Amino acid sequence: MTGSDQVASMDEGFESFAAARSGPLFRTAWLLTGDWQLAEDLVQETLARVYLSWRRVARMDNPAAYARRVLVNAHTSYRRVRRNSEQPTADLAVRGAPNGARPADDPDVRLTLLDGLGRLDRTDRSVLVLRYWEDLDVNATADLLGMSAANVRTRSVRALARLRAALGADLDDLPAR
Amino acid sequence: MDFEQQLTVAMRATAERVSPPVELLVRGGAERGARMRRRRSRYAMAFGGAVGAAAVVAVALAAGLGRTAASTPPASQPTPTGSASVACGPPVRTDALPVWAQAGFSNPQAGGVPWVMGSQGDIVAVLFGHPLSAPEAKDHSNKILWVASSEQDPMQPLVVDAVKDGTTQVVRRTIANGPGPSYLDLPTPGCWHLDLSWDGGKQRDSLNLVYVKAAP
Repeated sequence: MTGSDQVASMDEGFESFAAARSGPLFRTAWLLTGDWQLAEDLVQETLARVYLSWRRVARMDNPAAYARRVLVNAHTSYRRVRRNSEQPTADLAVRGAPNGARPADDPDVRLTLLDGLGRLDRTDRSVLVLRYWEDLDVNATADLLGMSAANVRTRSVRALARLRAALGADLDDLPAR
Repeated sequence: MDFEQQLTVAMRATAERVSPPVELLVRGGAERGARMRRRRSRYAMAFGGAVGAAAVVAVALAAGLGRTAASTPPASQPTPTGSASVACGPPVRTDALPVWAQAGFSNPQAGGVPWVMGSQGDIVAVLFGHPLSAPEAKDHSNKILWVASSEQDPMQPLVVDAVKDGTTQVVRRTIANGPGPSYLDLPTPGCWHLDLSWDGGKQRDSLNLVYVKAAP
């Protein structure tokens, strides 16, 4: 196999992986940020870093978990950059989703949950997204976020209480809508 | 159904109703990755062996040989152009960034953005928060974009060990995910020597930054 064949083969393997994982990664990024453009940027950055290390990543037992970790790290970095300028807000607006690319139905439902998440401290938001969307246990969440399991438990309880207070009865209606 | 179950259902309902722009994400990720790879290749061709030399300097620093060694590049390494500041060099530059640091800038050839090159030429600090201030200025933050010249493991942080000129106390700051955007607040104004380590300690560089006294 020539060098160019190897590159082509590598690119093909990466593209297959990226095509399969970009959707789930984007959905996680979307829940983490509530911002369409930022979610796109985080996923592209994640895929770029995976691409750079693809030969090593492809041999891993769980490349998808690696990509998720890269995404969370990228989000953490972004969060730190924005920490002085970005605060939880009561603004209902969800930024940046281009027309036609938004959820097809029931935007009120999406806004309700994203608004509730947007009112949380961003670390609390990450905890909830990883636990209830990614379905990670406390230890796995703690490992991804670089904090103790006890801290994750504490944050989970607090974030759930705040989310319940923020959403009130709205969440009860979500499954039925 | 308890609240946690409801939340799980609601998150699924929210996330699964979006239509991720898969093609855009795959193409954009691959192109961004390819750019990073090209930068790495150019770096490897131009500065082969620099990492080892940088490591030697860093080890010297760790052994307490001081910032003179760190701010004096080995003869084989690229030297930042411009007149070095005796007080706190190398100088802040505003010309075009190195090619490998230009990704993401809309008009990188135009210059105008203040930046400082590491003494080994392995990293650039783009000073979006220029002038850097201690404590943080009221009208701007100490935002620095770190751009490394070669690939790094995204799982490893950028560790900044800062020592103020005339002191020995080390102030450590850790930037998750390695070189990238950061806020770098340091405790007092003055000339700070930064010993930088990333990619799990495999890559190192150093530079000096001036923090001015914030206006009251």
